[in-house]
Amino acid sequence: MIRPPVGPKEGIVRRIVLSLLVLGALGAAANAEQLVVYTYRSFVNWGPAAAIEEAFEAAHPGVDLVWVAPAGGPEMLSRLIAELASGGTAADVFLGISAMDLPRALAHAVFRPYDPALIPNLAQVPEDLLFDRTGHVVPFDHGYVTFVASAALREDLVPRTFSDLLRPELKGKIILQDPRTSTTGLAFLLWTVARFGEDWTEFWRAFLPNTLTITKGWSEAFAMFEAGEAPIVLSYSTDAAYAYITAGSLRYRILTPDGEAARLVEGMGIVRTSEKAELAHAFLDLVLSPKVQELIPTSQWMFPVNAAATLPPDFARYAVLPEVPVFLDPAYAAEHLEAWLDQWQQVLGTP
Amino acid sequence: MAAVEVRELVKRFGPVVAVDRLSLAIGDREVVALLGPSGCGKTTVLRLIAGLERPDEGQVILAGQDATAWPPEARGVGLVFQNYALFPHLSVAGNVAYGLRFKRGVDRKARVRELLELVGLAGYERRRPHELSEGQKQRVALARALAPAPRVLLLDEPLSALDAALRKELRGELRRILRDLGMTAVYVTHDQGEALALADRVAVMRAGRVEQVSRPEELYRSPRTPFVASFLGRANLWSGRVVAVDGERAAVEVAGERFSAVRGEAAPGDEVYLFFRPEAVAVGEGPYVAEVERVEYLGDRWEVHARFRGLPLILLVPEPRTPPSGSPFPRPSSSRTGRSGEPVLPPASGAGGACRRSQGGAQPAVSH
Amino acid sequence: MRWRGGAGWALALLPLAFLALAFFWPLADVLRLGLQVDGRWTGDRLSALLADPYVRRLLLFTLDQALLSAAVSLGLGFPLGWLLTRYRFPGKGLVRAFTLVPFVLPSITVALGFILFFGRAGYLNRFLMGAFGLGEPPIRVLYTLWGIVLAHAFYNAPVVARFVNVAWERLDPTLVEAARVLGTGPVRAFLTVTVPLLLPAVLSALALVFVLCFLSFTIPLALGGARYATAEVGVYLFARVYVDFPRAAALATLMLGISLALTYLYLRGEGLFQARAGGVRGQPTVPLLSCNRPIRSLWIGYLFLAALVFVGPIAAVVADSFLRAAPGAGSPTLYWYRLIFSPAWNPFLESSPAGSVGTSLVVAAGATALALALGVAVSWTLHRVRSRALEALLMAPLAVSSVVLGLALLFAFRRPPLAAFGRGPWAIVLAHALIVYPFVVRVIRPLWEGLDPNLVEAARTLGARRLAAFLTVELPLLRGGVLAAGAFAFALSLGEMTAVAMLAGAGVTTMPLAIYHFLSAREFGAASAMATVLIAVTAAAAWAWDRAGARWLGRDHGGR
Repeated sequence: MIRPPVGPKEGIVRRIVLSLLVLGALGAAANAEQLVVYTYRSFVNWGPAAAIEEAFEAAHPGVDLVWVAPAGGPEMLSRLIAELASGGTAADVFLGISAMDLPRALAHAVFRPYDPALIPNLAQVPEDLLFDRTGHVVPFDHGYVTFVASAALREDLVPRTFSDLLRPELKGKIILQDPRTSTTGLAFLLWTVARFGEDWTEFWRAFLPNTLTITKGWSEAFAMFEAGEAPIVLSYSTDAAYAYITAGSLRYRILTPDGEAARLVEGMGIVRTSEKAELAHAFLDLVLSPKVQELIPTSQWMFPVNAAATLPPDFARYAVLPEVPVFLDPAYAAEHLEAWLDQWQQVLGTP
Repeated sequence: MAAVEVRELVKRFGPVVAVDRLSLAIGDREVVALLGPSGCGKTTVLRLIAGLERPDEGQVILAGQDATAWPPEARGVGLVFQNYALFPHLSVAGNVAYGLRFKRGVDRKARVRELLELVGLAGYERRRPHELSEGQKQRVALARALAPAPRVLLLDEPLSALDAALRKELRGELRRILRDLGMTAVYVTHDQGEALALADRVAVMRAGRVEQVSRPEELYRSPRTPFVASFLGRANLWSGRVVAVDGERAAVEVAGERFSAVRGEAAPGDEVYLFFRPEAVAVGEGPYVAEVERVEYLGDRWEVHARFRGLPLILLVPEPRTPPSGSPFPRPSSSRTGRSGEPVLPPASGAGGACRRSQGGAQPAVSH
Repeated sequence: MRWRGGAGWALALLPLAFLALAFFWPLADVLRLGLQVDGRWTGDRLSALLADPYVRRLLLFTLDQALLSAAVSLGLGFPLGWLLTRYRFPGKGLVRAFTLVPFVLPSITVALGFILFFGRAGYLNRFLMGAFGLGEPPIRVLYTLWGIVLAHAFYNAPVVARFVNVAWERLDPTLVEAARVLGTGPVRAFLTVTVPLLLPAVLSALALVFVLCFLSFTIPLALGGARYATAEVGVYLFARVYVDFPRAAALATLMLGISLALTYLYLRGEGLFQARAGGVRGQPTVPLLSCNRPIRSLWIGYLFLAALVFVGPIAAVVADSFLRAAPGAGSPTLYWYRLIFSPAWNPFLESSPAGSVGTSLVVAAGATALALALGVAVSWTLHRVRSRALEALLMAPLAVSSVVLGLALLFAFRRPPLAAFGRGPWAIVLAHALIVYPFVVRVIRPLWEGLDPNLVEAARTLGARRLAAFLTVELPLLRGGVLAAGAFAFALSLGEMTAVAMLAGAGVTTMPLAIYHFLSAREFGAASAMATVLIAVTAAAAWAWDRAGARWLGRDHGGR
């Protein structure tokens, strides 16, 4: 009849103990040998990540290839730099650094130099694509960033020039990406700098009203575009091929304003602190192998860098090569990038 | 050896001195009532004994040991709170058994049953406090305080929340239980009836001090201060001067008139109060005349407010006689045998007596 | 009970020491980084920050949207409060319960709901385009300032409604009756008596909503894109995305100052706005639907609008979790539910979906336990030691936004002694506990104050030591409050994303963050399924909170 009441206090103690046990179990689970690869989101949900993982794990039994891709390329690179600065990262390889971001990565010594002898497939990559002359980063794909319009856009509104992009009828119809967090966004920013020189901010000021939103990464933007949220998106010149090959549809039209598009080369490198250099080199070599490179066009929707890789005929037909590829000298861009981003923020800040 | 003794206790709350150099000893198996108006510090004394407050000065001595620094749980006192403070989350049995949790070697079940029988609540074990009447709550509170067999029981206005009839009934029962158990108890109340009925001795408190400690009948008959006199029952207090003494008696001059009174320690020339109870005044043929101002009907008697040569006078007249206005006024009776009802003459101005002149007009019956 | 010398101070020191280590010290790091250049105290960083048009725009936008949100919340919430006070209608209990939901509904699920419901390709636009044969989506509110404002109103209109409802219920109906007897018409009586008397409550609600929206994070993060960022989002972007810690710290310092000032003003104002306690009688109610008062059918219009804003987004989330076509399967499908409980590694989450559910539960349980312990300790201290300064210190985390707190802990967990706890979820547990425990104190403390002090004294005289008295008397009597606070803490921690976004490290992903990642990867089905689970769990916790609350507020249940 008389018993001490069981207070919630005892429940709490039990819960704490339980929590500790669960945490312990979680910690113990991750002990197999891993190769951790940081990349950007779309390389996983579009690109050949799954095929690479399968092939790699088959070639290296007992090794677990772990993709980490919660954000866009530049944001992932920022995170890696922050992790290295604050005492360590789990990443062994970073895949998806653009030529534009290379100076930043080199300045923070993110990568260790690669050993060409351990990457035999590198020999098949054309010289002009090797954008890192310092020997830290090897390219794995390339392509062109430009605007893509959907069939929902009225024919008379389809922009053909930069001044068309400023037409008031396009108000709120274009989805952009943030140059601070997205590779495509950054490519577009540098493109406008290359085209307009000192006056690039003028263009942006006039252009902003036509944007629906500026997403952090390309994935969100393209998904919104596909869902019909807006008829124009900043994306890749291969999107028409993508629509044709996946859906047999010609609903996407590649826009090359004034014949231009931004040249994009993407690379990968081995993180400085990685203790798995051999595996990491094997990974780079695998990505450059013709087998994986041939998956690039129809999954990543980019051009392969391995000259031996053959392009699917439909891809070759619908992927647009611009008349004027725009590519800002990386050294020059690196020098001014911070100032440009500040200016861009300020443009964004003026209502 | 006293069961409970407090020596020179002082307790201040900020600028307020709640208990002011108070000393009191309670003997074994003695029930002492602390009587006083609200705010006189009587509850604080109880809390000091229980250890719920720490005194600023002085000592609390329990069974010969200095317990001033002991925490409440080590003192072995039982406390019945004014609002009972029953644990709402525990049943009646759980409440009574609570104090037994901290004792070893007690058959809790048996003890709970024993106590509930003692207070007449056998069969109520499973009830919750909110399912009990006020009287039942009071009994549970008593049983709970008694359960761990405290060396002293402290009761803080335990009957004040009850209605008059129930209060009287429980008063008798409380008395029986305390006597049967032979408890040492301190009983705080502002109700003189309770104090007089329950206690072996009554300590009248005022402004943090004890004015007088006496057996109930002595307190009533021979108050040593005007405060005690007027706090217990109705009193007439006139200020006057001792003009002559003769053995046990003294002649006091008030308003030009001489009265014979019990002398006490008075000496000729002392400024004193002349004290007599209203019921000591007889109405009828006599040498004095007073003017009736108003009359209150009390059922079995009349309370008459009158003026005698400008001095206020209260007297009681039994039914069915109605005092006619302007009738001859009786003089205070000094002819009865024994001390009961006789005017007492304490000396004024603190000249060796317990009864000082009232301070600061706290005595509306006496004006200077 | 009064101050009791050394023991009291020692008790006060325990939670103080904890807060010093886990809160004040980390916060000092933020201030140091924000206000020091090369070890010298200076306002340079702050003035540089304020000179930056982007930051100025952030602050201006933050202010704009907070003001608009407060206004729109009032517009949507006041009628709801009115409706709940003055009318009887079927389902009133449900509507009243619904006003509680936004208090615990995770904001990321609201953002998701808004995208699914109000998006150009969302349910509402698809329906309208289909119904009226439109070529263009007619509702264009998402991705604009108004999308954020509307989502804030979704959250805060119920707050306004509750304030208005409570104040109105307390209003003495005889005042209006007196006005009517004196010859005023109903409209004039409303305007000259009811409205002025409700004004304090309305102002109080507006102030609270303004503060909440000013410090809003998740909704602008998910709905605003790069153009519509609030200052809190700015701190996050500087710290986590651009990894510019000094700048993040400077902006955080600024926001800390602003939020302290706002909290101070709010607390100062609260006294002024305090609704007068009123009538013994309840407010008279009339049936909402009545044939002889057709004007009341205007309410139908309002309810329709309210349902659109309040029910639409949540319904969209739930519907989408079943209806979104799955790869290789049709619709409806349970594919998304299977996916979110899958233990397979997901690169977007940096964890498995099931792992994020587990982390969430562990974090919420740990945070609840810690918040309860801390909340009870602080309540105990404040109960025994009356000191305004001590109260301000012990309740200080209330005045610090989650983003700033997250930044502080981000720094703290990078260096000793907290670095010893490593990269696990401890930082998040701590952050959540610090966010939630002031609410625990707010629930428990009034109950404790309401407890008869004689109960503890009775226990003491019966032989219980102070701790035993606490465990056997106070704690059981506070149990209802502790349980309610626990349920509330659990729900809040489960749905909290701000601190998680600031602190998430490798492998530590909670459900709200998983939803955000799914949302960012445009995996709507998975996001919706996880959001549905999260809504269900938090709603259950809220229900438990409400039930426990009803029990300890119930008159017949002992004690006072």
